Amino acid sequence: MKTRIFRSAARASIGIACLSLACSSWGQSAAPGATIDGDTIVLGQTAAQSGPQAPIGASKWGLEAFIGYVNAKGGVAGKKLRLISYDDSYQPAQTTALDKKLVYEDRVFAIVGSIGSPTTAAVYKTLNDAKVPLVSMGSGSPIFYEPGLKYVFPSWPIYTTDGETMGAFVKKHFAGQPVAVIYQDDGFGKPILAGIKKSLGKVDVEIPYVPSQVDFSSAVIKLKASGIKVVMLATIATSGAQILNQMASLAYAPTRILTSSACGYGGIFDAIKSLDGTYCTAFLPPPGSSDPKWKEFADAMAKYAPGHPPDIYAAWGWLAGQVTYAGLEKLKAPITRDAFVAQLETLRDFDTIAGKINYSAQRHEGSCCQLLWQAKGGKWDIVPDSGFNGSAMK
Amino acid sequence: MPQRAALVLVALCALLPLALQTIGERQVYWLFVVSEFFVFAIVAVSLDLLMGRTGQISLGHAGFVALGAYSAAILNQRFGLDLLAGMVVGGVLAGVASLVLGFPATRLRGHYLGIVTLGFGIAVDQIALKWDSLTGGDQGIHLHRPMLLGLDVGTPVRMYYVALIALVVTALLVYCLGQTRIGRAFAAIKDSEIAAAAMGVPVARTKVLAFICSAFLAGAAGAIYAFLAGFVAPENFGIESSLLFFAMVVVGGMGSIGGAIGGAVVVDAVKNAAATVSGLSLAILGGMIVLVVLFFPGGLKALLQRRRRAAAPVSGLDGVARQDA
Amino acid sequence: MTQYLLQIALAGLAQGSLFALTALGLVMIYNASSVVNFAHGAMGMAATYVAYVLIEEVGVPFPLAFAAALAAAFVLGVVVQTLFLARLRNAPLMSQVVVTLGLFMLIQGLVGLAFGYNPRRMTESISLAPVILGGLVLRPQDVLELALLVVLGIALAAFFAATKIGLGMRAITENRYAARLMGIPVGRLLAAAWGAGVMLSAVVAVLAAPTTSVTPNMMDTIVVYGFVAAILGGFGSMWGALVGGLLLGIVVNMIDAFVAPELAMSIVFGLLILVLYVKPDGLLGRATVQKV
Repeated sequence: MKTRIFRSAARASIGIACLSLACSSWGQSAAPGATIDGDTIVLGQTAAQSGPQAPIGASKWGLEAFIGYVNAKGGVAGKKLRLISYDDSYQPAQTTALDKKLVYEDRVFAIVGSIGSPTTAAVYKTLNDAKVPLVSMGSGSPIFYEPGLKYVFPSWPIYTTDGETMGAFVKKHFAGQPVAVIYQDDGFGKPILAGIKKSLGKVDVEIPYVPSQVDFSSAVIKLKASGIKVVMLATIATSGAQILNQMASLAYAPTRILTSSACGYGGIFDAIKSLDGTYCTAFLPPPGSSDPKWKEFADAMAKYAPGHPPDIYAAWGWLAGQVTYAGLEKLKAPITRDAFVAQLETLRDFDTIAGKINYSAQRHEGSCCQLLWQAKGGKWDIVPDSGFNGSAMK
Repeated sequence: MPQRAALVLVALCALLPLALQTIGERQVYWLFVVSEFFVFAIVAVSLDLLMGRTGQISLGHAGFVALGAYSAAILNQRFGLDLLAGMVVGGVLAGVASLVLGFPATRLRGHYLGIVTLGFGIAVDQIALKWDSLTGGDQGIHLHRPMLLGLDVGTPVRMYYVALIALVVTALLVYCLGQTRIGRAFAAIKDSEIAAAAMGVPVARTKVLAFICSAFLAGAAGAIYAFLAGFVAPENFGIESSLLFFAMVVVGGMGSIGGAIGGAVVVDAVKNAAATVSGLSLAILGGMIVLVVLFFPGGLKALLQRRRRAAAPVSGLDGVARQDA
Repeated sequence: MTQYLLQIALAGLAQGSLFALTALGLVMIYNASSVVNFAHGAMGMAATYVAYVLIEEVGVPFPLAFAAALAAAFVLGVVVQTLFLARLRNAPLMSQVVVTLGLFMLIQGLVGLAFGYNPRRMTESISLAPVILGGLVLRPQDVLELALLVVLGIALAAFFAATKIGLGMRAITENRYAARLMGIPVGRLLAAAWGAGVMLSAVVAVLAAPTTSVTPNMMDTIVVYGFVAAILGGFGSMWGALVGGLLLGIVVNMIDAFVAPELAMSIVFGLLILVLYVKPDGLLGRATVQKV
């Protein structure tokens, strides 16, 4: 019986080997969808809709709202827009598979508003090599701003700018006080820490953490015992909420500064009762603001994505829509990816909900500037004179 | 599983890329998906070797996969190591690492071992994240185009065949292992360690050997996955992956190679399909697992064995792990 | 420095109480039905959402909402046992464990779908200001957690030693077949054990909620530490779960404060392997006698 198995196995493997050699030239095609035929431009997105990162996946709705808004005005470049968004649960392995589906099966024109640093990190090189535009990802990770990525267009301020904004503010208003930074120990938190150190100089206590941590008592106790007066948090929303609540329960009230992704979700004022007085870096107008750019977004959300609150995460999606629109607006048929990329690279001081964006053939920079909000009486106010311009293309 | 049926399946899988030619460029996605099935099936078979054949639990198997994937990725990124070498190195490294678990395993039973392996999986994940000078941290590592003994296997079709051949070889290896003296020792240990020891089976050593073999295969699978996806990051190999591999083996039916492969394909297929239904992916996956186990408590392998079921009733001595008595 | 150490130790004891209570629930379920309940944390979390909804949307006062959550947890435990586990009575043990795994995903997925993943706030069980005792901050929440552990620990010990139901459950643990022969209503007691176990999980979740915020993943980390605590103390021993939990709480907080919080779980598991190498049945576990 054994010899029979071996014989059939040998035959099978020889057969397979021959087949694979025969198929050698197949499957080498370029990415489909490079040119638009038909009257719809299909955009693809991966965003977590389940799992602990699901709240930031709300950017999908901002993007849908933008598309609804644009289509109601007749579309762009004579075509309508359509979005296909998949849930990758913030897992890079899922993102890889889903992006392949979007590109090869659904034949999208571009990947827009892809949410997350590790998730987008998994696919950006492949997409760039396949000449598929990757626009306005939900991340400020420095890897996306490297020169030479012709098809990758970040739109956020790079994470180091986030840190520099915090550091500059602290230097101006709280100089000489002992400061600490609690940061997520990855490609999100570490660049922010680096930015803080660049503009502030030294930091007295640095506390790394991972998102799976739920109890920050020891960290807070340590900070309190060390007499720290200013705490900057490079954290995600849930961890930020936990830390602030822990501080309140331990009767510890330093000056607190959060980063943009930890604020600006609806319900933050309920989740953190001690939020008043806390600062937050931001590159978008605060929710509920009277800024006309925000109102345009909020109105469109009410109309085209009802039931989904106009918060920061949805605004990220809106931003992605705006940048994509700018690349398509002036194009004439045939609409190709290369034409799209070339058009994006002509944008100078292009105004979006996140401020001005600059792209050139040498640099795809993203939004230049951040400022600070402060929580006052249940809403966020913009702190005057807190703006910071981290642009290299000033 | 009947031999002829297995051969037919393998032949069908070998011919699939030819059939996919008809859908043009869309094949890139489908070839990738099925290649991924094959890789996970290898992991499931390796886990079944441990759980189904020697009765030892591992809830951290993704840790071995990660070790294999990362060693292949790091060596490929820095030294251009090719696919075969990556598989060997990955497998060996994982096998050596399994000694960390193998020895405590000899003294621990059941749930103790399960939790310890869980910890192993978590530890590998956390260390991969922390030691970013080696592993790139959460930014991960991008691999170069995969080469196999000088041949470029970077196309979707070629990677597909690499994964398929690897799966067939794994299945054959595990099957043949089951027929050897070591395989019989595994089965003896699973039924009753004391009886096996009384028969002269070196229980501790055999258990460790099972761990090493299982870890080697899982590590090799990890290396293939790294080349297939072109990217490794810690999140690929977290506790959710370990628990899913565990579910794959049980859903498929323990002690059965075909069951393990079937379980892997079903679970992974549902996971992929659920991802396109926004927000429901976790619930759908969980619901599917619950339903399958409720209807097939012994696993999906029951479907394969239905025709061979004897009329004899299940005796009370069957299944030491049963609840009653 | 001593004050700092004391504060860390205190926080550790409080966290340890949560681990211990989780471990107690896990051990109770395991002792009765030999199943490791992977859905333990998720079920407690679901019950917490019941309390959250009652407090925030209906305006029910906290103690009542807490009681409602406990009732919901009990019902959930009974339902899961009778609908799913009882049906798999004759299935391999691993299948039963995997069902709990599937339930974990299902419950978490459904709750996430219904409520989203944004952190929600749960009012504290005791809304008193923290007491400062010689520089040491005593949070009422911490004291409550410790107190509840002691109270529940004693109550459980008395329950299993003296009440008919408790003795019945112990009989089931010893030998289910014999218990059935003695006329003990095995099915009903199994359901009750599950109900009680999940109730303990709900207690933990509601206590932890002010810290972790109410999210579908709130219990994920705590449950892993609960497993470790149960193993550390000797899986199957209730006292072991208690001691293991408290010990683990202090160890974890010390690692967080003085070593590296990002590696805390890895270090804990490393220590666990060392302990198990010396005492394979855990600190307080009885050496299991294997029947040939």
